[in-house]
Amino acid sequence: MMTPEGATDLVLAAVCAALIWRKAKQSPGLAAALAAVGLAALFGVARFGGAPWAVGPHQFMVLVATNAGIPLLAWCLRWPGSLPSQQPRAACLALLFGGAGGVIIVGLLGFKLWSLLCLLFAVSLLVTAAWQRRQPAFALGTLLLIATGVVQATQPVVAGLPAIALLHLLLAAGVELTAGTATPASIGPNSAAA
Amino acid sequence: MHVSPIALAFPVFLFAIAVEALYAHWRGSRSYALPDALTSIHFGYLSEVERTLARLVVAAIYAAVYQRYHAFELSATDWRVWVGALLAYDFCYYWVHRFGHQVNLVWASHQVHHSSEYFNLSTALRQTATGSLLKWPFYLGLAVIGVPPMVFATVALIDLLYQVWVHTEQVGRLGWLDRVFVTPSNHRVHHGQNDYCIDRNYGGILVVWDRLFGTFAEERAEEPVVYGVRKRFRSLNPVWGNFIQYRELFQASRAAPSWRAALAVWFGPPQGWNEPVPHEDFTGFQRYQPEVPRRVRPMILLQAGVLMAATVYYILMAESLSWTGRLLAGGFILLGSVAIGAQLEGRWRPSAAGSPAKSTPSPTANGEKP
Repeated sequence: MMTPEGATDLVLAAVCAALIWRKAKQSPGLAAALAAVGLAALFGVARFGGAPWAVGPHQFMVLVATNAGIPLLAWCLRWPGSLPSQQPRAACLALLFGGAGGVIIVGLLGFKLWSLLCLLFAVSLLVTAAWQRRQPAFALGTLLLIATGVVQATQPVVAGLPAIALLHLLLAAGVELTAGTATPASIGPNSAAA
Repeated sequence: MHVSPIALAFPVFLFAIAVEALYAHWRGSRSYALPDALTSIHFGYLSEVERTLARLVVAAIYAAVYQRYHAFELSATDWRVWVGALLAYDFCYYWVHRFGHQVNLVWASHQVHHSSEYFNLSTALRQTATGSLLKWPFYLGLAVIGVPPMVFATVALIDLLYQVWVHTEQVGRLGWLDRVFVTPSNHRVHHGQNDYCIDRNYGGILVVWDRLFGTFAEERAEEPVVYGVRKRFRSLNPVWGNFIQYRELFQASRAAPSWRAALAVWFGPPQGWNEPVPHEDFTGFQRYQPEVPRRVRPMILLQAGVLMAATVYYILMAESLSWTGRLLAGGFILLGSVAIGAQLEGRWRPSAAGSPAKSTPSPTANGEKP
C-alpha cells in the first residue's frame, strides 16, 4: 500500500530521472548529484511502501544526498564550467568522499550540525546563482529548496500531507525549477577549466 | 590472539620470491636485482605497519555502516553469499584501482606499487603505506547491501592474495584465461609504461571488468613491456617513495592561481583531463640499478634478515601492543628500511680507505632525491 511519503518519493525519483535524462550530457556532475537524490528517493519508495529491507539503504542514501548530493547540485549550478560539473570523475569523487564523510560524521558520530552546514553551503551557492541568473523560475526553485529546510525543522502537516511528503514535493519542485531551467548556455561550454 | 594472515603469508611470499629468483637466474632472465627486490619488500613492511595502525579504524567504519544501514541479512554459511561478495568486491576493486590511476590524490599513494622498473613477485609486496584511508568509501556499498564484515574481510584477503602470483615474467600467455582472469600476461601490461599500457587492465581477479568498461589491452609480443612509471623513482628509500608524489602535489597546488585550481591539482588525473597519452620512446631504456659491491652484500643481507624477523614478529604481536608500542616498533622498522636503502644506494657505505663512499655509479642514477 502506497503511503503519501512513498508516493511523493516516487514523484521525486521521477523528476530526478527525467532531469538526468535531459541534463547528463550538459553537466555530468549535475546528473551525478541528481542520481544520489533519485536513488535515495527510490529507496524511499520501497521503504514507505512497506519493504523493511529498504530502511537502512534509504537512511544511508539520504545522508549521501544531504551531505554530498545537494551541495554538488548547487555547486554545478553555481559554477557550471567547473570540474565537478563537467567531469564525471570529479563529480563521483565529490559524491563518494562527501557522502562517506557525511555518513561517518552524521550517521555514525551523531554530529548532525554537519548536515546543516552542508545544506547552508548549498543554499548560499544557490542564492548567489539565483542572484546572477535573475531567472524567476530559478529563484522560485531556490526558495522552495530553502523551504525544505524549514519543513524539515518544523515538521508541519499541511492539508493532511505529512511533513516528509511535503518535503519530498518541495524538493522535487525545487530541483526541477533550478536544475531543470538551467539552459545549455547557462550550464556552460564543455570546458574542463576549474 | 588474532594473527594477521598477511604475517603468516610473509614467509611463504619470501620463499616464493627466492624460488622465482633462482628460476629466473637459471633461465637467464634478468627479472631480479637485489636492491630493487629488497626495497620492494621494505615497502611491503611499511605497508603492513600502516595497516596495523589504520586497519582498526577502517574495519570499525565498515562494521558500523553494516550494523546501522544493511539491507539484507546475508548468511556467512551460504556459499552464494561468498561468491556474490567476491564478485562485488572485485567489481569495487576495479573502480578503486582505476581511480588509483586517474586521480592524483590516490595515484600519489598507489604509484608506489608501480615505481619498480622490474616485475617479479617482490613487486607484489611493494605496496603503499598511505592507501588505507583513501579506499574504504568505495566499499561502503557492500556494507549497505549486507555483506557481513567477516565475509568482506575474507574476500578482500582472497582478492589481495590472488594478485601476488600475477607479478611475474616467468609465466607466459595462458590462452583464454588471459581474457577472463587477471593473469601474469595482462598484469604485465598494467605495470608497463609503454604507450599502449598506460591506464589499462585494472582488474583484481577478473579482467572482464576491463573488457566491460573499455580498459583492456592484450600484451604485445612485438613490443616488450617497459616497467615502471614515467616520472621515474630513482631511489631505494621506501619512506621517500611513499611521500614523493604528495610533495609534488603540494607544491603544484601551492603554485596554483586559485583555490579551485589548487583543488583540481589534487583531484585531477596525473596526465590532465582528456589528454591523450603522450608518446615516449624507450629505446635504450636502462633500469635504475645501483651497483652493490659484493663485499657489502652479506652485511646488508644480514640486516635485511634481522629487519624481516622484527617485522614479522611485530605484525604477529601488533594487536597486543599499545599504540605507543606500535608507533615505536613501526618507527624502528621504518628507520631500518631507510638505513638499508641508504646502504644499497651507497650513501652510508664505508670505502676501502675508511672514508664514506660515494653512491655507486648507475647508468640512470641522477641524484634527484634530496
